[in-house]
Amino acid sequence: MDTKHPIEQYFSFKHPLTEYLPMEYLGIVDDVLTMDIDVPEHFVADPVTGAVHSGFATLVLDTVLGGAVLGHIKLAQPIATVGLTTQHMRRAVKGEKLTCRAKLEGIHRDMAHMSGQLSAANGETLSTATGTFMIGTRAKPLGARL
Amino acid sequence: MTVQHEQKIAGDQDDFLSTPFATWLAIEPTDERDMFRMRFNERHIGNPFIRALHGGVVGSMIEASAELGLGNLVQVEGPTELVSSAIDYIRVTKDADLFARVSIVRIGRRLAFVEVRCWQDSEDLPVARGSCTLRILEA
Repeated sequence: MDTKHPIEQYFSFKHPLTEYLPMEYLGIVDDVLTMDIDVPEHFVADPVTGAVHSGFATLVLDTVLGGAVLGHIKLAQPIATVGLTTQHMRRAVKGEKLTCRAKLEGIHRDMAHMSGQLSAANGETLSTATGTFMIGTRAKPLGARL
Repeated sequence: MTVQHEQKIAGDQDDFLSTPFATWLAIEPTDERDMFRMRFNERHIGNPFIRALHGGVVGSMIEASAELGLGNLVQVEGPTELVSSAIDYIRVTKDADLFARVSIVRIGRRLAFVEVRCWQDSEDLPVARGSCTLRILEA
């Protein structure tokens, strides 16, 4: 039986997106999922300082918050981000090792409410986010839709 | 707008568009000053089964468009830094180009408030909208 967390499975696919996000699942403690990330060069927006764009933090937080939702639902089903609010403090720089944490705040009906932080190795918070995710989207593959 | 300012805008935009991030996102300007295009790439897919764009990729596009659009639409004295964004995902996306149109809600001396609306098939069918707050730094 595969006991991997769904986010580990997601990152174990040879998925074009995950190949750009070097992330490692560390585990879940008290409903908080933790992943480590090596900041890759692809997201650098300031070549002088090596700082990445805020969009990198948004991308990581959406990925980890959404991935954490998958670990809380019994049936494997697709989810979709409905809302994501992000606050950005310092930009990470390429090569930096970061930690992203995602916490389930609650599930009501088919909506999961999450919060999370992206932090530097010394604990400094770089970005925070809250996200709402719909569990079980009705989206159909494009071919079946007009 | 002065010729020098037009040249500065073009220079700043070119600098940003040549960065690794802009290349990864595949964002490009359009003929309209307030509109940007993200060329679809497989790495933008979030769910390989329904082939929808990743929510974080759409979020990145909104944040990048807010910054570029602000610089294109008004004379900003210094560099800008995005402070926060709030994004609503309105419709399901598909594996196709994404467009963004930027409008400025207010620009002050230190802060700018920008809204971005994204679509794929038609501007009348938005797939996402974002509200972004940007800090204007001293030059």
